[in-house]
Amino acid sequence: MFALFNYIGLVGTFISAVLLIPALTAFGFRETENGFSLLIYAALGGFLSVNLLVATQGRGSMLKRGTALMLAVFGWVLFPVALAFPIAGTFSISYSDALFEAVSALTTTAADGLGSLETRPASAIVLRASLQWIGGLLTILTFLVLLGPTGVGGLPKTRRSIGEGAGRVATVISRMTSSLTRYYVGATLVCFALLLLTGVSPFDSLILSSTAISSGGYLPPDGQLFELGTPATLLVMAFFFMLAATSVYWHRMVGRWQIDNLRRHRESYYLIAIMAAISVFLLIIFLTTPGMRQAAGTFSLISEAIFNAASLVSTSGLQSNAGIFTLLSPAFVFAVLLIGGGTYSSAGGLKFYRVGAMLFHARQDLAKLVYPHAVAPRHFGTETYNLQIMKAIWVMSISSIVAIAVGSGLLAMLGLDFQASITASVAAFTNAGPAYSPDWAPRGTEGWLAYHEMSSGMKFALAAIMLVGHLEVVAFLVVINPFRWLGR
Amino acid sequence: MKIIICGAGQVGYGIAERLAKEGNDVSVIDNSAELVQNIQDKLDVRGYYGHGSHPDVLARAGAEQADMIIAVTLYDEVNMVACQVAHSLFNVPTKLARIRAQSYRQPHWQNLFARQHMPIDVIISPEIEVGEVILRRIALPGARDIVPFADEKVAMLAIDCDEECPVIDTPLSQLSELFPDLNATVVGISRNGEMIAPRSGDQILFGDLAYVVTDRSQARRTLSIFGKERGEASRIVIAGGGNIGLYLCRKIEELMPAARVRVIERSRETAVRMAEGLDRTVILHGSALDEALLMEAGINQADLMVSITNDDQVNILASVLAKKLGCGSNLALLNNAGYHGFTKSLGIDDYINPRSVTISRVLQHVRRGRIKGVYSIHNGAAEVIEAQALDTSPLVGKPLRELDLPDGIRIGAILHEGEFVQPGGNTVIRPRDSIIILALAERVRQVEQMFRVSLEYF
Repeated sequence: MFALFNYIGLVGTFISAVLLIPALTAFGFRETENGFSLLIYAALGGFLSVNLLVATQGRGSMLKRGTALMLAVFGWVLFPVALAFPIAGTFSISYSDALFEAVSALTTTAADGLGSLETRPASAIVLRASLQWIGGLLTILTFLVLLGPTGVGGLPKTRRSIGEGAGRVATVISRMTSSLTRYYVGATLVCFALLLLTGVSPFDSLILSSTAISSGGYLPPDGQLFELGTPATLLVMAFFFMLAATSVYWHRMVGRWQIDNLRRHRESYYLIAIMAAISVFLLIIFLTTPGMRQAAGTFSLISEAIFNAASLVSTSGLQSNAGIFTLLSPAFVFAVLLIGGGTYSSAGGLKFYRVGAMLFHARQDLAKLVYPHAVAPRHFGTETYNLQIMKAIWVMSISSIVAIAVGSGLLAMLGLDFQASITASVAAFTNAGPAYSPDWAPRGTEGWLAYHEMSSGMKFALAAIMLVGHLEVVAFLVVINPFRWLGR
Repeated sequence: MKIIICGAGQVGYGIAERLAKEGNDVSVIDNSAELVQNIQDKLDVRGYYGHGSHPDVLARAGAEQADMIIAVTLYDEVNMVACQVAHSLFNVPTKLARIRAQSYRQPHWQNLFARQHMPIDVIISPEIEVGEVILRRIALPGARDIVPFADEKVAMLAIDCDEECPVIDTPLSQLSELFPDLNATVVGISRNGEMIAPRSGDQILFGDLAYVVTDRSQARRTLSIFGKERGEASRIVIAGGGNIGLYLCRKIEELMPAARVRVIERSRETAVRMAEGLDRTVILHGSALDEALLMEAGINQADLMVSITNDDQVNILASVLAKKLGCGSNLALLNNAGYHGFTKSLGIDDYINPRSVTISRVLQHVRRGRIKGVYSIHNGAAEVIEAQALDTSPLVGKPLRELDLPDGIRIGAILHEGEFVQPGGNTVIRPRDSIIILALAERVRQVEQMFRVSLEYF
């Protein structure tokens, strides 16, 4: 249990420090009241977190598999609950709406429940973008140090194994957090600088870089993405979406030029190939859509095609121009979102690794029909698929579909159009908030509400789906399993 | 030449037999007293009981005076250490080692065998050698044997002259008149178990096995002239998934994208290892003698069955069964030379003797002079040799008809500045030309002399 508090303390300290960014923005934009209130939240959060961190540092106990899962779930529920307070204060909205915003930001879903941003304080917009940015980092960290080692949902195992002493775990978590944060901050700064170079204003670059690096979906209040910069802006965003959608382990392999591992790696290459294929597909659609070629130059259309493909695969859900995804079939868009990005990335969805494993397994089983005595390989690239992993992957996939179905049913019962409910549920589960939009609504259909038009009940339901989807539904199922608690 | 052979097993024995016959001073080391006794009893060699890599044993075997060490024990590490000891302690000039584990041969570890580390001059991997032979036979299915020379520009084909062969009873001199643009020469004929180097007036008879040296680009045409026109095998069933099988399948996947290969392997562990290492090949677990499994592998539609298990009897039976079930042709790996004589009567189209393949490879490095390649045929009755002519060679500067080559030697091809030259009476060999020549066993020494580096050369 000490490890749990230690981890909460560490993350809380980091979040409190990040709250200083919107606080400084508030002072910069003469939103003094927001500035002081954010400083107070940062100080309060920092005080509690540092105390928790210091009090639990080096305390010996084992971090068991169940504790790791509980830690992941508990952390992801606790932080939005706590961070809803500064959001409610800075945006001047109700706590329930603020909770939706907090979950939406931290899970990088970026479902905008506020509507028009022009009248909102700059510090509040930066706060939300900062939470989205932290959310991207925490997502990767949660997978690296908590979910990965447990192998939940058949995740490829990381080197560190659960079961080490709390002191050691704390050290490992600190080291991983430290190196990952350095990398994450560095990549964000590069993205920020490149966006500036493409002609985007510093404020918009700040918001967009946080969106790109976390595969989030928040836009600055100035309007549609294609209006904010040049086609090069979209290409920069697409590159960082690709980075956000691929495994950090792959990034490390590239950084250290581990040729052997790079050669055996598969997931990221398939992901990039699919991204390229969707880009080509979108470009063909753009070129054959009446008026699009005339409205924009070919380079502009190419950059839009690449951006939207990267946004889809990385489960950002952001569109270069409102309604672009409606040029595609909804089934295709939501299938791509459901497959999602790579493991150990900030992207949502089932992950390429799992879909690849299922296809690999299915292919082998089909081959068995022709050759009953055929011997199937157990490895695909760097991954080993045994029966236990395949079971975990199938359970995870079926649980995901059930979770989406339950979420859709719940939203429909709360009054959302049924088709809209399914769309919103998939968008929330895959953390691709902007992908849900009333633009999908068939003509004359009512009940396709925008996020900001939804009731509190719908927002709570969506927030729950976002968390469940973000944390690999199985982790939730394990933690809420009554046998786990009754058997204690 | 003083040669030490570490290992008196099948390969070691075969090499010792050939080298001893040629009058070399051969010492054989083995840690099986029985094998040492056996080789001493049967061959004119000295046997030493002991560990092949131990300095004292090597010293007793005369390593200090040795010109060459050939380490062909069953263990890679013993072979490697034997070469290292021979180099470091006895300064043996030439070192050959048999290394089977492919890990040692990975390109990124090749520095291991550099002069300053483990100075082994020639590494022989029997599995790869046999795999290459099979690949060549898959590529040219009409030939009994295919051996490349001169960087694959020249090939030696062994062709069965059966009832389908249209050139039977035709004098060899007429062949060049009938096919003037064909760059091919019959250099040897195996007739009734005897090897001959034919003269231009000789004929090919029914039942002969003709050894033809040809321009590689005309290999298919040569086969078709001998009535052996067949397409490249594309549906292949392989029985046995050991090291040879894995190498073979990898190469087929790499070189023949259209080929469909099915492997039958008895050991589940080996089958899984193969499945892990291959992409397009289907690996089936079971016995190659199981008719139902052979049918599952599509043997009735297969072009070729390659039986390469460790068991000769299984290879023979699997090949015969495959043919019975409708397979186009078969190829079996036969270690036991006793079986070679009756393969035809059993219905085996072709066989490979791994020992002879390995021995050929070793002999290539034992030959003196400017000899670049050697292939031993007909159980050592003759050798096809590729050598470079020096200024001092008696072959250089005169038309071939004036050379008065002794019986038992026949020139198959000349490569002048990389171009194939069909040897004829008026052809003149120039310095630095490569010559592919067949020599009966008793003429090998003479051929060596023709290509030796004499003092005049310097």
